[in-house]
Amino acid sequence: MKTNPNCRKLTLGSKIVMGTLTLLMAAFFSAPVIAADVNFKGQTITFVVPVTPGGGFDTASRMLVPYLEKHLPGHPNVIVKNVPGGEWNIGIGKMYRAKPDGKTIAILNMPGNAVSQVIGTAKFDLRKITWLGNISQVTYVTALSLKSGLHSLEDCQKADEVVSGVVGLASTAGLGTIIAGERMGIKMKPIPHGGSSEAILGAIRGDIDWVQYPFTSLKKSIIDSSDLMPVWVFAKERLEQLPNVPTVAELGYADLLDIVSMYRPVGAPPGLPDAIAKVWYEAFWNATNDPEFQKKMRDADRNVYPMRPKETAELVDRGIIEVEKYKGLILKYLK
Amino acid sequence: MTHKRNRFPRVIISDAVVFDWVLLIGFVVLAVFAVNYNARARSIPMALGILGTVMVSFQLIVDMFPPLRRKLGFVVESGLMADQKEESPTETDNVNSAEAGNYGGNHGKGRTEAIQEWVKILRLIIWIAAFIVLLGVTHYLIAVGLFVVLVTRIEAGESWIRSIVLAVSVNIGFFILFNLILNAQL
Amino acid sequence: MYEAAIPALQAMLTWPAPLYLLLGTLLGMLFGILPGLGGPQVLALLLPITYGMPVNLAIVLLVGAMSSIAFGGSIPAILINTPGTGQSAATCFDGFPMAKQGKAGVAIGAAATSSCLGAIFGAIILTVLLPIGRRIVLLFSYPEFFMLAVMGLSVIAVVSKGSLWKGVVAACLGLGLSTIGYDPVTGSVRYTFGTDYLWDGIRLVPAFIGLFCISEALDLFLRRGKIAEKSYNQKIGGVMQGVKAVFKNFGLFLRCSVIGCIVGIIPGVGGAVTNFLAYGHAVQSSKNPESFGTGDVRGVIAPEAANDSKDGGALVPTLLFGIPGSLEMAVFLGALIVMGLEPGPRMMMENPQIILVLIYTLVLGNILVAVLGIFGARVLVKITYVPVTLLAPIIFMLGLMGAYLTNGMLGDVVLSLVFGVLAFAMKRFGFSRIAVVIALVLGKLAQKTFHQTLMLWGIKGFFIRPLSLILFILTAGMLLLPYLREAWLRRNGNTSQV
Repeated sequence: MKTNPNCRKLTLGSKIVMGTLTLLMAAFFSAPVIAADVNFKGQTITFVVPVTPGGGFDTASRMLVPYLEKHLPGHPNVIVKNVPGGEWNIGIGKMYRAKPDGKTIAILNMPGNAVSQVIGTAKFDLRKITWLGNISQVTYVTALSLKSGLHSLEDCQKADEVVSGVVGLASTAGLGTIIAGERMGIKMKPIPHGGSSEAILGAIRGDIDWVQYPFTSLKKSIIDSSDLMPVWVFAKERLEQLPNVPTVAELGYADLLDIVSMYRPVGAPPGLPDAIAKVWYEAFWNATNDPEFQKKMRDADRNVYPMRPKETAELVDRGIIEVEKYKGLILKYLK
Repeated sequence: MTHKRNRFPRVIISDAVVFDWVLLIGFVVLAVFAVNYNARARSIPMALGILGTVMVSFQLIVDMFPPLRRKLGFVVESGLMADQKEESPTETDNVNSAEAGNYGGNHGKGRTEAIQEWVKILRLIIWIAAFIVLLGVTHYLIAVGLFVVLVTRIEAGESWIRSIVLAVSVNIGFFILFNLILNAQL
Repeated sequence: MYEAAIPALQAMLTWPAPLYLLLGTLLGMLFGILPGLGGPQVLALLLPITYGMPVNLAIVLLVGAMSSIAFGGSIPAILINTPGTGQSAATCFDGFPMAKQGKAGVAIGAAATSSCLGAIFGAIILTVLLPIGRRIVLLFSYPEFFMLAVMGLSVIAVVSKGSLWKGVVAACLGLGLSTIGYDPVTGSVRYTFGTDYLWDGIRLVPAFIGLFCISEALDLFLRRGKIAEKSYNQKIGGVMQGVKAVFKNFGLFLRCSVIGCIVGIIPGVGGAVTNFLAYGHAVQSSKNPESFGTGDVRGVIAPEAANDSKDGGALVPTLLFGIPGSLEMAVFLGALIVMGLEPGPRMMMENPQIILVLIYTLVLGNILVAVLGIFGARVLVKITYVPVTLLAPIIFMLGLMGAYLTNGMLGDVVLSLVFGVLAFAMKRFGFSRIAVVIALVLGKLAQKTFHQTLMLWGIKGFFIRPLSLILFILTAGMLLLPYLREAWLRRNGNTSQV
């Protein structure tokens, strides 16, 4: 606003205008702080999925989207954005560095991401993320190839060598296989693959003896067809779809459950203001508990495991501590 | 480029030679850095790096000292698909002579002409680099619009009107395509 | 499964299925044409739209889109030397030279026909093979994957013009570049120099955009004039000539369709290799191989046939095992799951109708896009007559934006630029770009399967399995054949080729 240098004082009119403008600006800039009205009406929420489309994490996220839209105030548009690359770093980084305004969230992988953090390749700190909750818990199953000649834990322990098909080590599956092998006293020979499908196919062929993957990945080969033989599940109780398969607890290895178990938690950037966080906590809890969502997931043979934000944060913390115990082993395999 | 029968072979420094040096450095890097990785991981890159270094070295010698072409004939020998008869007239001059195994990339062109062409390429590279920077800081349509206008006018020599019309059309087309139809998140 | 054939057909023809087919096909074609966008992107875009849709319609929409991508990708390959999708790379080799000769219409006609018939062929094979597809998929193991990769790499020797020495150097360059990034097999991260961007290695889509599109645009800029250096035949007759060419070379077409379908069945290997293998086969089996690369229509027919029949083949492991044969299939699989279907042995028994709808859509979608292509060719061909001074800036923008849109990363655009300059220099100095492309694409697969075989069985692993031995002999034969042929001709006193 230019002031006439010849004018010696401001008129009343201009004072009123300036005052009003100041008030408006103050209101505008402090709007997010006003707790009562966190509303996403007309906004777009970005749900970052740090892996390529088509896998378990992507599918779980996409299935949840309509229910997030339903339970968030203002019913915003929630879009899934796949940001694969750098072993989850790029996608998580994108969320981590986004503005903490409640409009960006991401799905994460526990304890897979914890492995990255422990060995130092992560570009984020899991403990700083604002955890919103959890979508599902993935139960791992160990299955043996029909051509391996192995049928039980004893067989594996007695064998000279058990060939296992793993993916990466900074992943729950890879880590889980190595750790299970060590713990159970099995002489493991891990053969790396580009993806779990590849490894499973290798087991069906008989080139690989052992695969250890989420139940959803193996279901086709152990239930729909009998290409592979399930030997145990990493769960506290037997799965209803596999009533004859023992749990690791029954076999005496309940401690493995802490590490061979995958969760799909969802988080928002660090420093999310309380007001927005509270709104998200409630919406996320309602979405994951929505009976329609749960039914859809169950029909797709996927598990739903809602968790409160505090529980999720504790889970993450525990996960990091567990993985740290195996840091030496991991680094040895990466050599 | 005359071939005098000197005692000292005449050294040719052409743009082909420069490129050979670039390749050589690349392969050396490949081989040298391979030692940082574990045994299995280093095997293939190191082998490739060494093989590449050796092969490019020969190429470099042949390109720098043309008289040696005859002695090192295997370097310029044509591949399985080389013409048994005359080359077809539809191929561009450069590709023809270069791919037929002749040394250097400037066969038939003067040195100044070659440098002029590289300068033109360099200018385009700079324009594209500027585009990338703009893409990072402003809305993509601004970057696209500016690029089209300026490059069409300055590099391609078209009139201002044509350049601006082209830029506007491209912007409209891209907007319809990317924002409306594809709903891309830009 | 075949009892569901008629009900499935009825479902396809009931409104609004045909409308969804059209929409899906158009969208897929668009994504195929635009460099940088392809199968995964169009499926990701359509997925949310299919929520709540009846399953049959959703399948028609999604598969319709997928079916038109292969041909869509060949259009820019022919017109501006940029494959719209990675699988159309080989179409550039002869398609673009044809455009330069003003024969873009012929090329498009041939590509459309070859694609369409190839897809039909692939669908027929799919239908026939599904009962025994299992056994075929299980025949291939790590040594066989490796041999296929090597076979693909040896195509380099067959199709490289000019100095063989430089061709090998180019191949080494491509292989070297493919080692960049995290390698799951050796567990190491190589040549990233600390950057996050290079962690996943050289991304193929932006690299292709650079190698083909940007380098060609740079070249055009210097040359001026127009893409089509001379006028050939502007009437639709040009396109029909291309259509007829497929029938004139029907034997080649059939063989390449078979190659595409069978290789497509093998999960993980398929997409990358097929178009190169088919192209290599075309060169090898012709009496005048030197005409390839200069605008031989067979160089368009071969890869396009394989490209499309492989889609039928890739559905075999996807539907039978629930194991995706390619990235596109992986996304499609995810889409099926979200819709409540679960591909795998169960689906074959419980939902045969859906599988048939899928196959029909694949066929109809391809026919539709081929017809669109043939009729649209006349308009598309005009692009080759636009002065380069106006066209080149547009090509730059399309390519660079395409690179940006693939993943939203500026790094991809920089990569395109770097590869563009590299390819430009390589072309100028006689280093085969084809060699780099093939080596880059197959490098990771070759290295991975090499190490896997060694880890499991040691060196003898490559030679004790009959199938890998057969592939090895085929590859050796492919490389030696020209020399043997030359020796045979010389012995019979006949050195000139007709």
